[in-house]
Amino acid sequence: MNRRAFLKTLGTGAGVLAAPTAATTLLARDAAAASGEQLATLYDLSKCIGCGACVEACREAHASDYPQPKKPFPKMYPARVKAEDFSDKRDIDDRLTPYNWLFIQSATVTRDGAPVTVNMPRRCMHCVHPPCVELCPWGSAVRYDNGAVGIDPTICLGGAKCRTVCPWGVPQRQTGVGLYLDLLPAFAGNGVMYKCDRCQTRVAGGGKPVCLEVCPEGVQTIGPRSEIIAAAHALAKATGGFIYGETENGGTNTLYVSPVPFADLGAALQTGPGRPGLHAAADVMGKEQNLATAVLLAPLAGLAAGLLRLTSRVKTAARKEDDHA
Amino acid sequence: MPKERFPRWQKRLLLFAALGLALTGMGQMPIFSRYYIADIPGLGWLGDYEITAALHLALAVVLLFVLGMFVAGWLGKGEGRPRLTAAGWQRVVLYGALAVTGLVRVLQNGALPLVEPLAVRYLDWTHLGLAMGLLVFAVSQGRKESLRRSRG
Repeated sequence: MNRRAFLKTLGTGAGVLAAPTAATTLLARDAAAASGEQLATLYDLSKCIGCGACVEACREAHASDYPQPKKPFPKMYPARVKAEDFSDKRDIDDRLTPYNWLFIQSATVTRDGAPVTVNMPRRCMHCVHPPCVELCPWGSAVRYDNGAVGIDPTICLGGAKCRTVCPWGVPQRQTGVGLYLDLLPAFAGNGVMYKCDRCQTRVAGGGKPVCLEVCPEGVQTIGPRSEIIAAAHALAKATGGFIYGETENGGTNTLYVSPVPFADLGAALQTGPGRPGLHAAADVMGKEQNLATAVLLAPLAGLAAGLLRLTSRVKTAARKEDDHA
Repeated sequence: MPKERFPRWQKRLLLFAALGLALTGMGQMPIFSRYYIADIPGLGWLGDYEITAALHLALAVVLLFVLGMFVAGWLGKGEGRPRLTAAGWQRVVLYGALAVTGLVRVLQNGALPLVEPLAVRYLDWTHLGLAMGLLVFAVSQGRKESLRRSRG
């Protein structure tokens, strides 16, 4: 096969990729989400009074999961690598930290000429296609079958890639704890990343996330994703509300319904490290979907090209034999 | 003059893809930014996960396509194919296992998760270990022929 034939075959492969049937099958990346196995939660923000009972309960329930770093921290190289230490600021509860996986974000906006204050419990959105999980090079970020996303503190090295690729910058780092201390603490790793795991242990045991259980206003409900989406739409329709989390980052397992548009809320919020915004987050992993499909088809296309090459050789040999006959 | 079994340009394409995959694979870990490599003018993209992940997939398409061609050519020779040397077998195992673990990871992120959530780490570590193995192989055995010389 010469270069021209190679490019031609590659072109055929690209044509196959564009064929709707193959693409549809391989792009069925939401099959798991639609199967009913994934659980999602719905926040009716019109009910949230911002009392903080959920935050308090979360801190109590996860107290034993919080990092206990050793000090002084090992020196890290090069000098640009900074320690992130919240161990002396464990009381902070107005942002996400390694010691605070849920906080209440409040914003006041004007609606029909009157001020409206909306309180939003904020934590990991538990994406259907979480970039933190799909891009973690170490396998420490995990998507459970029930739709929750967690980070295993026993193997996380604290590289913080998950925070970089998360549309909301959710995972938070604590230096001086974790596996990196046993490897090359000076040259690789920087602690462990922490975030909400939607009370994986409680839910696996048949319970519910503690924030949901303690809420005095019944703000949050949990159920199969398809049912939660239907409930969110019904609520939004009945109250003239707005939905966030259904399509953001290609879909999440956390849906908020608010009486005011999220764009208005987002503009009024204080955002920054540990304080996520309410932007229209693009689908991070969806951008790679066509390339991923091409990867799956490439070996087959290569085999087909190789077989074509063999066939053409056999034909050429047969023709030569005829010529010599 | 008989045609080469695997044309040189295909082998060069494979080498280009393998080197690119090694570089972009390293880029999946947060090291290029930490160690100032992404600060070198023109190499800033090495510190951008979105770019390195997309390039890793694109180069994997090239590598898997060429590997597929090699496999078809090899199997198609039937009984007449030359035997592999020890270095040849090592190449087959290393590239084959890297390709399989990579493909399983792509499926895991997509429509067909085959690995239990808490076992994905072993898949990632195996892929990384194989890449390191290929690097060691390339440095120590890289110039050795894969095919035994046919007699006569």
